[in-house]
Amino acid sequence: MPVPTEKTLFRNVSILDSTGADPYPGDVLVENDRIAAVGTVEPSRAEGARVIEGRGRTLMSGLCDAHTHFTWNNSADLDGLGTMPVEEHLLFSIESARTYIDSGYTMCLGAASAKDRLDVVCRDAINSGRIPGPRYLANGPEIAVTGGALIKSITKFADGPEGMRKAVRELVELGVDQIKLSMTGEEITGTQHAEDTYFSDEEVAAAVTEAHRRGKRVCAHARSAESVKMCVRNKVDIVYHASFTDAEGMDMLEANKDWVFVAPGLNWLVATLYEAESFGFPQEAAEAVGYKKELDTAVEGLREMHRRGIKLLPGGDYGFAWTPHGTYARDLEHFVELLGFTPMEAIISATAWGGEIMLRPDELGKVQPGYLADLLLVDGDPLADIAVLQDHAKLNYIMKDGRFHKEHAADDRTPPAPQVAADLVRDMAEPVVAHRP
Amino acid sequence: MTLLICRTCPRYDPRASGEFGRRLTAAITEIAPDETGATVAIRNVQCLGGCPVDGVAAVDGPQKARVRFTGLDESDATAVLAAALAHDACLTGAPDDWEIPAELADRISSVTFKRAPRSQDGDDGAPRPDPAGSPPGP
Repeated sequence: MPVPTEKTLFRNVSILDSTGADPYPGDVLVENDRIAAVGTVEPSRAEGARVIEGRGRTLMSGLCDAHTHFTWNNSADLDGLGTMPVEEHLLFSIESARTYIDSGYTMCLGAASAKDRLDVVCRDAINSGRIPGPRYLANGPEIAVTGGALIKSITKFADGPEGMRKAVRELVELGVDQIKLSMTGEEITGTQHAEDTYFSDEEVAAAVTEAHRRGKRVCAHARSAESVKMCVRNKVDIVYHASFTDAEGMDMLEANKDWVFVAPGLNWLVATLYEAESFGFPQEAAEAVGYKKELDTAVEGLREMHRRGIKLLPGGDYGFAWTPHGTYARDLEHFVELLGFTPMEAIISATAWGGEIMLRPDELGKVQPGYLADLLLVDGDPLADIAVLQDHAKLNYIMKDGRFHKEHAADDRTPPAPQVAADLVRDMAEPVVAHRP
Repeated sequence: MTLLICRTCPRYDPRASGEFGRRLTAAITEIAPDETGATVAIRNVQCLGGCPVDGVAAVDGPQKARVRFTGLDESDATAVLAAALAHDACLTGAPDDWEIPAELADRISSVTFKRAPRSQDGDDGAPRPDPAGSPPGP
C-alpha cells in the first residue's frame, strides 16, 4: 500500500538558494521531508499540496550556528554556568533548543556542555520529536589540562596523552558527536590569558587520534597563535576563535582549508567589550584585560582568512547575560560589518557551509531539489538588510524536515496589510508596514 | 535606518516579559505618520543586553555605531524616534556626532563601534568624522 505524500507548495517566493545565485522568483514544492522541486513546479505535481502564498517573501535555508551551547544559561558570570542544579539546567537547555529553532536555526554544532549528558539528552529528545529544536551535534564537557580550565566546575580534566585518550573514550561512551578541547585562556577569567596555550602537542595529538579513531570530530577553544597551529598540525576539525592567528598559522589554515573550519564567535568579543557594563563589566575593564586588542587583532586576521578562502562560520558562544540566547543572527551582521562579507557570503556561510560542518553537505543548507526541507520564509530581504534575520517576527514560517515549527497566523486571518503609515514606518525591503503589533 | 527594540524586556519578570516592546513599538508606529520624510525599520530583537535596567532599545545602521538606551517606556516614543532620525542623518552614529534628545541623554548604556572592511590601499572605508570635530569613540 503506497504511503501518502504530504505536500507543501510555497508559491510566488523569492528563492535564495544558497548556491550563490541571485534570488529569483518562483515556487518551491516540499514532499514529505524533502524539497521536491524548485523554480517552476508542474501543477500536476503540486496537486493536493497545502499552498503557502509567498507574496514575494524570501524563502531560504534554515541557519546554522557553528558554536552552540544549549547549556550556557544566560548567566552574568562564568561560575553561573556550573552552579545551576541539574534539574533546572535540563529545563533551561530544552528552552535553549527551542529558542534556536524559534530564531530560524535548524542546524547547530554543540561546542561543549556544562554537565555530562545535557547536550546528548537534548539531541536525542529533538531527534525523537519529544521537544522542538534544531538538528544538533552534541558535545560533552570541555576537556582542559590541570591549571588550564576556564570554569573548573564544568570542565573534564585530563593530563598527558594517556589522560586525553581516557577522557575522549569516556565522552564517546556518553554518546557525544564531537570532543571539545579548551586549549587556551580567556581574558574575562582574570587568570587564564587568551594568548596562553595550556595543551601540549602530544596531548592534542592523542585526543584527536582517539576521537577520530572512534569516528568523532574535535573542536577547540583556541585563541592563541600557537594553539591555532597546534590545531592544524594535529587535525582538529573545527577551530574556535583563532583570534591571534599569526602568519605561519594563517598559511597553515589556508593550506588545509579543504577540511578545517574556523568559527570565531565574534559576538562574544563585541558584546563583552562594548555591551557588558550593565552586568558589571564596563568597557574600560574589558579594554584593560585585553578585549579591544583581541577584537582588533581577530578582525584583521579573520578578514585575511576570508580573503584566502578559509571557511569561516557564524556561531557566537551565545548564552551569557549580555549575549543571551535568541540573539544568534547578530553574528551574520558582524560578518558583514566587521569582516567584509557580502550579505550573500554571510548567508552562504550560515547555510551551505552549515550543511558542510554538519557533515551533510548534499542535503542540508540549500534550497535545492533533494535537500531536506529546512526552510525559512522571511518577510524581508536579508541581502538588503542582514539584520532582518534578528527579528523573529519577520521569520514568518520556520520548517524543519518538511514540518512547520512556526506558521504565520496573519496569513490565514487577514488580507495583505494595508499601506497605513507606509511612507514613514516601513521595512526597508517590503512595501508594507514594518510591524503590526 | 534601524531601530532595535527589545522584545523580551523585562527579562527578569516573566509575567510582564514582552510588554515593553509591544507598547513602545505601538507608540512609535502611532506617532510616526506625524513625522515627515523619513523611514525607519523597526526590528523587534530578542534582547539588547541591557537587562538590569529594563526598557531597552538601540539605534543602529550599516557601518555606524550602535547606541543603546535603557530605562525606556512608551512615553519615550517621540524621543526614541527623534534619536533614530538624528542617528540616521549623521555620519558615524557615535553619540558626539548627533544630537541626542535631552530625555535620553543620561540613558545611554552602551556604544558599540564597528569597523569597515579594509580596502587594498589600507583605507578601512568607514565614514570619517570631520577632522576638525571630535573623534568618535571612547
